[in-house]
Amino acid sequence: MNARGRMEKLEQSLGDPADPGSPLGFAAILAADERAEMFAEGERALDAYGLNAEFVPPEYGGRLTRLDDLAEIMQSVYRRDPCLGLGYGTSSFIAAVNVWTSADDEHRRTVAGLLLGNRRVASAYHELAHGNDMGRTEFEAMPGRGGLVLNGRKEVVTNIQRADALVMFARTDRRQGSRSHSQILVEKEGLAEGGLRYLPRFPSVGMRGVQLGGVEFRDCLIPGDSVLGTAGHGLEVAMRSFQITRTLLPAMMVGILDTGLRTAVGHALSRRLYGGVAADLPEVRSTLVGAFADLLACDCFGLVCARALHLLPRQTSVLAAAAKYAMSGVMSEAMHRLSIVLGAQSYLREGENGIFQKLMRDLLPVGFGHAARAACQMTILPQLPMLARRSWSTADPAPAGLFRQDADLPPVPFAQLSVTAGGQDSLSAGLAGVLEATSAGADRDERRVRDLAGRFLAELRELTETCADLPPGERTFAAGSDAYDLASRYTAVLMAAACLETWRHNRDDPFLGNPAWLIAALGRHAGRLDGRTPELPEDVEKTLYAELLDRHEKGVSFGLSSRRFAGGSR
Amino acid sequence: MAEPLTGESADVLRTWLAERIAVFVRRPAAEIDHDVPLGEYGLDSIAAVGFIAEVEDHLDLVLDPTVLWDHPTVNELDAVLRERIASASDVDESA
Ligand SMILES: Cc1cc2nc3c(=O)[nH]c(=O)nc-3n(C[C@H](O)[C@H](O)[C@H](O)COP(=O)(O)OP(=O)(O)OC[C@H]3O[C@@H](n4cnc5c(N)ncnc54)[C@H](O)[C@@H]3O)c2cc1C
Repeated sequence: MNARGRMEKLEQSLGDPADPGSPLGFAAILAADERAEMFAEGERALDAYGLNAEFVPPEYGGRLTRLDDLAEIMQSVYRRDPCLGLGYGTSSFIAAVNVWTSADDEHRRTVAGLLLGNRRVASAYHELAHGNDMGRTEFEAMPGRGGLVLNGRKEVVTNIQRADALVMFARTDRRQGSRSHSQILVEKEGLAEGGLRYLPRFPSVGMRGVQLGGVEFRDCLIPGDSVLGTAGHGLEVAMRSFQITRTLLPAMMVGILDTGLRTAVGHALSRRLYGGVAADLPEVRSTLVGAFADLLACDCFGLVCARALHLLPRQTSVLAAAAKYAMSGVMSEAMHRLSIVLGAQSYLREGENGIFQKLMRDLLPVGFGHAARAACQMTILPQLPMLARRSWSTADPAPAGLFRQDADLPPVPFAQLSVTAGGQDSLSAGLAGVLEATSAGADRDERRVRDLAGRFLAELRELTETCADLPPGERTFAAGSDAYDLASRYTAVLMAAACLETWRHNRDDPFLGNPAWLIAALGRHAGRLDGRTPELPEDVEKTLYAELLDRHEKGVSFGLSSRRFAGGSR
Repeated sequence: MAEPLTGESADVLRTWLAERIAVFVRRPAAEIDHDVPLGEYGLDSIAAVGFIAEVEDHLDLVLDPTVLWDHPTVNELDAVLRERIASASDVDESA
């Protein structure tokens, strides 16, 4: 079955979440959340669908062929229950991507077998003592007693207790340096008694159903061949494989914003105020349209970066960090503004809008989970001078396939992902391409597009000047906040380029080809960059508001692909 | 391309490497022992990215930052870079 068919099938098997009678709907999801439990009915439905197969490449029996499709498939899970998204899905996906990136055939078969049998594999990197500072990881797997001996702790890790196997980030060499860690595969079956002790669960504000746990190993012996790939290459494998997951997690979480917006539109249309409904208030409309435009921008950037992993794997160390940074910021802000439309309803834990408060809590880790936003800036910062000198005024634009959902993509090139982008950036080169493809004498909308492209191109030129000679001290952990700011301005430029190029390469599409969405998305985006509240042209707002209501009415996604969801709106 | 790096100017590269590293870790170059792993001076994986980019530009070579992870001292780095320079100029001549 092709990906569109699978998306349809998954939607149908999970049903309309807003249906109060649905055993898989929001009412049941909220009840599980109140109990801080994973949603058992939902897990059974995902078992039946075989969601884990989406994480396994076809040569190992799964359906992982395109990362943009995977993002959309997982949006169907996240839009219902982010705890299922993380606790059923992405926790195992992160572990699996490590394996596909570095492991030998036998380890790959083992992990594929577990996943295809609906088992879980946890990804255990985090230690409370070190947070994002992975290089300080203390948990160790040292040669001894004819195998590897495990010692140390991992904490605040999804599914660590209920998983059948763990991919663990471990010190395998006591020397300092960047070749002292490895990923190891720990299968729980057959582990020596008493070698492992689980720590009490970590209760959390959001993702309450997700079982965040910890583990302590003491002199626990595992087979000597448990290291994934080359011993000592763990940091490199993390930096490469996380490019996939740091792009995909926020791209999947666009589903959360979809339901947030759907809930807010439903409320604004039904809430009677001042002799009309809340949606009659221009301010409320603007907020809804703004969130719609933000969602489209995020979906667009996420899907473009997902395709970049296939088409420009040498450039994605920068793009993945930019995707995580920019999308998490825009989505969190949009969700906050939607909460204002919902008012007190955003604060109630039951009833028609009860799902909103849960989604708002569940969205928060998009900013700090699996790399802090600041750590993403830090990935980009030392690369800025190279990018400025080698690419920003000279690079060739990206291939058209980056921007089209119907493009042919090669299999995920795990082996080609690189620690840095080597100063290569073909996405921002698209800004100049859009200027060339549009003319100043064209119609009003095309002039608006041109102005916006010019605004972001000017930003890129300014960045080029500032970054080309950025002093060494500003490219390390000692950098000041002005330097971090350069990285975030650059992510804004990349996001704008992704939107502009998507419009340029899809002018045959009835929705994407009409520049209204682009003008709205980039108008808001430029406003954020300039630190002012963006106001959209009246006609653009009107067009998008009509589109928003139409999609809401028909139960169609608010994302780029306008695909039909199960059930439709209430 | 930088000056030839053989014979009498053999130390030129080593000296340059130590000087640039000193700038990244904010210490006098004289304090950088050529046999001590640079991580011990605070040249972490982030600083390594910026530093290796400078080396690439200076020597007109394409390098991966992991070259520093595999050759973490000035002397080791110096040795591997000379090999790279030599094989790059072989390619140039045969082309
Ligand atoms: C719901 C949930 C699920 C999780 N699941 C897993 C899992 O499955 N596996 C796992 O291994 N872990 C998991 N974790 C742990 C998670 O990975 C860590 O919380 C995460 O790595 C961040 O650590 P920290 O928040 O303690 O950040 P810290 O690194 O302690 O950061 C603290 C502060 O320093 C700033 N900072 C950090 N780095 C930089 C930098 N380079 N430059 C500037 N500022 C910086 C941050 O912005 C932040 O303000 C999970 C956490 C949650 C909440």
